[in-house]
Amino acid sequence: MENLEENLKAQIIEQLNLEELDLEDFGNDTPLFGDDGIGLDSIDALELIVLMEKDYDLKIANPEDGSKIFRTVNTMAEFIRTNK
Amino acid sequence: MRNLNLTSWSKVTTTGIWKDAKSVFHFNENENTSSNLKQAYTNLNLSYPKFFKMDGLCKIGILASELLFTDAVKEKYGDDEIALILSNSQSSLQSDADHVKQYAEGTASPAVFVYTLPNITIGEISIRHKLLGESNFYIFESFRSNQLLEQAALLMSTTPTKACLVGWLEYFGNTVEAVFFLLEKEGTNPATSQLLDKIKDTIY
Amino acid sequence: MKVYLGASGAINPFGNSVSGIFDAMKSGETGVAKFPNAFDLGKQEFLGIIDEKLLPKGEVSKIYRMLEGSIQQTLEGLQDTSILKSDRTRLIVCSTKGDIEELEKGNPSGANLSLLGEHIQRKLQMKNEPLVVSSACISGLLGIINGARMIQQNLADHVLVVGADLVTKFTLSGFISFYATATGVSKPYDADRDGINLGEAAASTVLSKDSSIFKKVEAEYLGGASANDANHISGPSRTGEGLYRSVKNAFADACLSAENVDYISAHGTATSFNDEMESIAFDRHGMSRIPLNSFKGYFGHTLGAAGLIETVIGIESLQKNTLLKSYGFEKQGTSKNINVLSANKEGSFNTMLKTASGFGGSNAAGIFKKA
Repeated sequence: MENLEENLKAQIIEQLNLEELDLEDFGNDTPLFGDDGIGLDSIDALELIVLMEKDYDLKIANPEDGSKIFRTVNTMAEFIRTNK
Repeated sequence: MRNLNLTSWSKVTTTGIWKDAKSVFHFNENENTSSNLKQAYTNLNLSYPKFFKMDGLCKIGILASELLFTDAVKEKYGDDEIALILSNSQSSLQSDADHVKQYAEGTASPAVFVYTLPNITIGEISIRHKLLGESNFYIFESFRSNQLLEQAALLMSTTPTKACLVGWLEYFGNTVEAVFFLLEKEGTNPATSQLLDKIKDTIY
Repeated sequence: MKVYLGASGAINPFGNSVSGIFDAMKSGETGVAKFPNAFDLGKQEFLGIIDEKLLPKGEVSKIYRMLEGSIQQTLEGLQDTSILKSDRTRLIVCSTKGDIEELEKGNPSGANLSLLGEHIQRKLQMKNEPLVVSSACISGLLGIINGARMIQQNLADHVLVVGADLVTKFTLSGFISFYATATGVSKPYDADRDGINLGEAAASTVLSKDSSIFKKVEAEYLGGASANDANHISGPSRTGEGLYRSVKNAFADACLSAENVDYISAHGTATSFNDEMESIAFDRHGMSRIPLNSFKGYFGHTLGAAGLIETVIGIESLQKNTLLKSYGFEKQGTSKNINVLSANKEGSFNTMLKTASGFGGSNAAGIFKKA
C-alpha cells in the first residue's frame, strides 16, 4: 500500500468526475469538502462510501462517520490502513 | 391568454450547437458525444466544473440554456420572474438504465440515482443561473409546441413569471437533442406552434 | 373564477376509499410494515406496500390496477361521468417513475411515462391529450395547481388529475444508496427521525368551474405556486428559500395570509435535512403555531402521488373536523418551533395549506378551503 495516497487521489478524480482537477492540484492534506478545499458536496460524500466499499471492501455503516474519514486523502488512507 | 414572443432559441444535436440559426460549435464526427460535449464546454468557456458530474441529459440542458441566459437577459428579470418548462418523451431513460445496471451488479451509486428524475435538469439549470421561479417537467409522446406555449402563457397570466424558457431535451442511445426557446412578453417575433416546430425540425 | 374539487379517490396500504383510509389513520394505525429483505437488497426496510386484494383485477401491471381502482372511486363521485368525454375536459397524470419495473425486465418502452396518460385517456374516452407531470415529489400537488390554473384561464372547464407511484427495487435501491431510509416506521419532525419509508399509492380528483358536476363538493382551490431552491439537486435549501417562496406566492395567488390558515398538511419526509428546512420556511412565515402534520408515518413517501393523495386526505380531514396526529412524532426535533400535532384534534377547520418539496430543488404549495 505504498502508493495508497496517490491511488486514492486518482480514484477520487475518476469516481467523482472531477475532470478539471489534476493530481498536482491537491495535496494529501487538502480538505476535500468546503470552500477552502476541493469543494466536494453531499452526493460526493456518498460516492466515497461506495468507493470504499467497492475498491477496499470497507463498509461505512453510518454516513455521519464519513465526515471524519473523508476529511483529507490522509485521513482516508489512515482509515484504510487501520481497518484492512 | 397572452401572446408571447420568441426572442432567442438554441439547439444541441449530434452534430453541433446552434443559437438563432447560427452555428456556435461543430462536433467532431470522429469523436463520441461525451467528448464532444466536453469540447463544447471548453469552447463556450463555461468554467463550471459541476458540469462533469452531470448526466448527459443535464449536460445538453446546461449547454442549451447557457446560450439563452445571457447577462443581458438575466439582468432584465428578477430571480423569480423566469420560468422553466422542459419536456421530453423518454424522461431520464439513460440514467435510469445506468442505475438499473448498477443495482443489478450489487451497488447503486447515489451520483447516478440522483439523475433518474427528468426534472433534475430544471434543478441544474436553476442552480447555474440562480432561478427561483416556477417550473415544470412534462412527458409527451413527441414534441408538443402547442402544449409548451399554452403552459408558458398560463404561467405568465397566473404567476410572477415574465419570461419563460420552454424546451425539449432527449438524451438516450444515439439520440442527443435539446431545443430551447426563450419566450418574452416584449418582442416582434410572435411565438407560434408552427415556428417552434419548424425550428425543431430544421437540420441546420 | 372559482375552482371546485371533488370526486376524490385514493388507494394506499390502508384501503381503497378516501374515507376508509382516513378512518384507519384516525384510529392510529400505520400502513407501513417491515420487510426483512426487501426486494432482495439484503436489508430490512419499512415500506407501505399495497396488498393486491385491494386492487381491481384485469390490468397487467400493478400501477395500472392502482390507477383504475382510484379512478373507479372518482367516477362514483361524479353526477354525470359524461363530462369526462367533453372537449373542455383535460387529463393530468402525475408520476415520477410510472411502470419502471418494465425497464428492469428489458422493456424500456413499457416503462415510458406517457403510456400512463394514453391508457387513462383511452379507457375514459377523453378527447384531449394528457399532460404528464414528472417533477419529482411535488408532481401530485403541481398537477392540481396546473389543472386549477387551466380552469382559471378558461382553457378547460374540468380537469381530472390522477397520480401514482410504486415501491420498486429501482427507487428503494437508490434511496438506500443515499442512506435515506428509516430503521423503523418513519418519524417526521421528531428528534429521533432517521429517514423515510417508501410507500405506494394512487389518487385521483376532479377540478371544475362547475360545482354541480359533483355528488358532493369537497373543497375549493384558492391558490398555489411552485418555486425552485436553485441550491442543490438533492439536498434541501438550508434557508428553506424555495418552500418559503412557494408559500408566499401561493398566499399572493389566493389573496390570503398566514393567519387565514387553520392547518398545514406538510411534506415531512422524516429525513433530518428536509424536516429541518420545512421548520425554517414555516417559521419565516410566522406559521409556528398553526397545527401541522405529515402523513408519511402512516403510509410512507409515495413520491409523485404524494402531493395528490395527501391533499385529498387533508381535505377529508377538514370535512371530518378532525386533524390527525403526525404519526411517529413525540419530541420536537427541528431548530425552529412548529406545531406538530401529537394527538388527533377535533374542531372546526376550514383552510388547509398543502406543501411538497423534492429532488431537483422543487417546492410547491396549494391552498384549499373546505366546501
